[in-house]
Amino acid sequence: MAERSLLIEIGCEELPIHAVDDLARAFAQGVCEGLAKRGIAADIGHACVSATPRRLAVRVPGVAFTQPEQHNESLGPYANIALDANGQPTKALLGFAGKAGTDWTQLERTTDAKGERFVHRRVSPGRATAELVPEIAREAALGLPIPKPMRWGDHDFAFVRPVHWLVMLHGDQVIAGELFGVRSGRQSRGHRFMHPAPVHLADADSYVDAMRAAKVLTDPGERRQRIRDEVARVAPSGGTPRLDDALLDELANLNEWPVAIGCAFDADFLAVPQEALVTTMRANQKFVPVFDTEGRLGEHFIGIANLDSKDPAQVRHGYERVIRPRFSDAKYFFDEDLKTPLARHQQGLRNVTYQKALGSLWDKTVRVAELASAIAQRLFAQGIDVDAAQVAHAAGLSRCDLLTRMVGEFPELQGVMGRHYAAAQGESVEVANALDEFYRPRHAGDGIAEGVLAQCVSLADKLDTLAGIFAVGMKPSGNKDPFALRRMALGLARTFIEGGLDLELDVLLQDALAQIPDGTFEGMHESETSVRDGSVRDSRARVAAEVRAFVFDRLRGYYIEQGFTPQQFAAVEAVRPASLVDFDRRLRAVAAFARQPDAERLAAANKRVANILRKEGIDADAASRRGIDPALLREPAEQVLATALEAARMDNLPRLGGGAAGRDYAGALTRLAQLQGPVDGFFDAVMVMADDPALRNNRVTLLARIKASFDAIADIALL
Amino acid sequence: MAAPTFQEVIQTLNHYWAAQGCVLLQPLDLEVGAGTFHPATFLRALGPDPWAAAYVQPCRRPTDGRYGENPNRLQQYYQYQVVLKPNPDDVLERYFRSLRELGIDPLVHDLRLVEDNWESPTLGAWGLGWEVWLNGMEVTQFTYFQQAGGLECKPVTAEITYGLERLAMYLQDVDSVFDLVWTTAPHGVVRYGDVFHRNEVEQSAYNFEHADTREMFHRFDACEAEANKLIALNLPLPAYEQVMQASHAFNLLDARRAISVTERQRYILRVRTLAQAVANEWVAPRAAQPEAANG
Repeated sequence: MAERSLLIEIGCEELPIHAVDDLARAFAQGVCEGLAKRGIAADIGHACVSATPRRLAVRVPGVAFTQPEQHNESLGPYANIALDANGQPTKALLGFAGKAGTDWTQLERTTDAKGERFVHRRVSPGRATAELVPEIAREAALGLPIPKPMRWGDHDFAFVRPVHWLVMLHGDQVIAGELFGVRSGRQSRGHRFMHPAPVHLADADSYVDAMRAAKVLTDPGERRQRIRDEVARVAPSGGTPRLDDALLDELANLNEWPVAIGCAFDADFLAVPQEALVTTMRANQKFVPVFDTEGRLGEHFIGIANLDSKDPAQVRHGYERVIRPRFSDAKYFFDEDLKTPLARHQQGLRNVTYQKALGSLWDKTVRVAELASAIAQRLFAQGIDVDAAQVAHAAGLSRCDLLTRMVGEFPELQGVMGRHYAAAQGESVEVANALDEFYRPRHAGDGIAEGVLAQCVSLADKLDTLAGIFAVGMKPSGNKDPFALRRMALGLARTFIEGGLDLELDVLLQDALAQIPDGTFEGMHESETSVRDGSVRDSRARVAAEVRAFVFDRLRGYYIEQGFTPQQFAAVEAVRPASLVDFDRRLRAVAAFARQPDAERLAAANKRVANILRKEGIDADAASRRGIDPALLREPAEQVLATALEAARMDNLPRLGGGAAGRDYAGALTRLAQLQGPVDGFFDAVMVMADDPALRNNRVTLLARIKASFDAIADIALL
Repeated sequence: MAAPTFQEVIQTLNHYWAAQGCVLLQPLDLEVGAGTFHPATFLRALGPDPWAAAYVQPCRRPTDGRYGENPNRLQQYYQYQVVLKPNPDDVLERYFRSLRELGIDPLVHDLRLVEDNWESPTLGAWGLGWEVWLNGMEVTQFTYFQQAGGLECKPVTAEITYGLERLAMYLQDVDSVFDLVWTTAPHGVVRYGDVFHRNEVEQSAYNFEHADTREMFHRFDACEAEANKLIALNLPLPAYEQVMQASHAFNLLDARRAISVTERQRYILRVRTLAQAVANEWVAPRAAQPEAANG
């Protein structure tokens, strides 16, 4: 009998559903680490995590019955301190030997960097696993990341919920121990009502089956599968239950023995927007809504009981009853809200603080409307069909639904209700949709706002939030991001790029920051601003740079996730394209270029050019504008290069002109790639650093013009 | 088994919890928003002494009034409150047995505990526990008190709050609270509506339309001043009555929408400050003034 499974189960009162999974994992990990730390052989790789609403458990197979021999070593004094001139032991050495419980002559010696020293080595037999498991269990339990620990009874200790039983079995042996005032044993407990008698566990490996017989599915995976199967079992024909992972997790941690109950509500309630009904069902009752093939909510829904009821009809009756007043409330909110035009809530927004320094939600709304309208005008100037007045109107309504009763009850319906109310109150489809879509992307993987009108509001809202919150110095740090600015920054960038909106980020940021009140800027006081106009200007420039860098940080991750390399990103970032649409087109061209066979050589040549210019302290951009004096081109190789370069530049002029959307960066790069031969020839045959300053100048200018030609797309040297 | 009448539900619970050793109390004769406000819960949860009590408490929530037109919402309703300190180890089992006494078979009905952590900003109190769902309907709040009046609760009090109307509506299978059978009298069936519908209509009108807000603001200030005076005099019990009255004045102002969002926070904080001072005073006399404890 060399090894057996170890089972530890802590039985509790009903655990918080959102904590169960994390706690169970952490407990299993703590037990496994406790075994490993003590050198107890165990098949940790096959440890099973069990968790239900009433228990945290772990079963580790192949756990040895004893620790291996323990080799202990304690280091003593160095020889020069331990022994006197006559080689006799000093007090230091005798003290060390005494503490180790041995005679000094029995001590061994070892040498480290500082010299020779005495050492006491001892081999002790490993302790029995049964002796060590109680402390392993205690360490694991006390180390759990409990969000809100609680006390109960008159005890001093705290845990996630009161503890009632403790199982500790190694093979078929009980390991004696205690945790939270409860002594261990082999008796677990089954389903609270269906199996009130204690469950006798013969051994650790029989746990899952014995508990299943006691109407408890201890394996979370099995419970999830059971819920899916049960939902499918009672789903009405032609209906599609919507059981997403979040709801499934909640249901799995709310039930030890899930049984589905098919139910229906009064179809009259379907007049209420279905998002509200679905939210009510899910958030308040954990019911699974059922949709038809077109994604329309139907009157069927599914409840999951924690019971194989003797009379399921009574449970169904109860479920159907409980949803009625909730739906009635939703209908009441909806009907009441419809009586007040959205715009009338604008007044109320003045009383809702957005952020102390940034004013009320109305203040924010005014800023967003102004900015959104400016964005729309810029797009209109580019020939895009969008009405700035309509955009401003939508932006002005964008926060009004926050004051409706429905959103007051269900904050997650913000935007959605704005859309419904606007549509019902005669706003255009575009305006109504904008009230919902401007929040997008709401989560990772969500699309951006679809309509141009919504995109204008979306951009303006995000720009204002980023500018304002950065201005007050509340930018995200570590895992603190209360305004969800990271998502917002990426959402902003994606809206530009995926919406194909060719607008200059820096200009819009300036517009946004210009509207942030002077007194807002971190470290500034209102009284100072009038006399320190310059520093407010500096603050705005500083915040603009911070926000820009923040957006680009998110953007880098976004592109790397899509398979672009950090080098490709840096190559484009270095030339600071004004708009993100432009940035995107350049990046795609660079990535395509990088796949070509001579990309590396051309990058190397560009690096060489950049190095020479840097060494000479030449500003490539300025130098490139000087023009080349053909009379000074002495060497054939430089004449060839100059001719080839100018030809390429001429060819690329039409490719790089016009709006970003029409530019052919890939073609331009391909054209420039043809310079490879002349450039190589130039470096082979021509001495750039000629003694004659005029010659040297001319050659440096030639190189600067090459670099400038590439920089019109990206800094290829960074690849 | 015939469904119990409204008053039989109360009688059954009284009988059951008396057998569990609870002191059966009568309602507090002041307007409060929840049974927790009763000194038998809020103050008795503090300090080391054991305590077990059960009582019905009428609760006033002016903003929940609907002029008697909503079958589920009332500006005054009943809670059945049980407090057990320290909580017995099997307090949950005792609770579930009380449901059996009411005729709820846990092998038929889906009973479960859903996490719900309770917090009363005005009382500076919080605890961890659950809503108890009966076929998805919340019929009870179960809380292990961790703090009250800003003070640690040790030993811990278990608080069980039954929503009597909901529970009775379930047992009697009626959809409107006003249809609940209160009892059967010689002259016929007396329903909840017979007893309280007119009260809901008139009180809603008062709460929403006629409550004198200037007077309420004044009353709040006066109660606050009186409470502070009494706290200084080391009279926490009368001081606490002033706190409850200030809290009710605040609730009425809230129903009249006379308090802005930012002010609201400030008023809650003022009540909490008083409640904490009372709690401190209630716990203090033993240590500081043994003669007061004897008196």
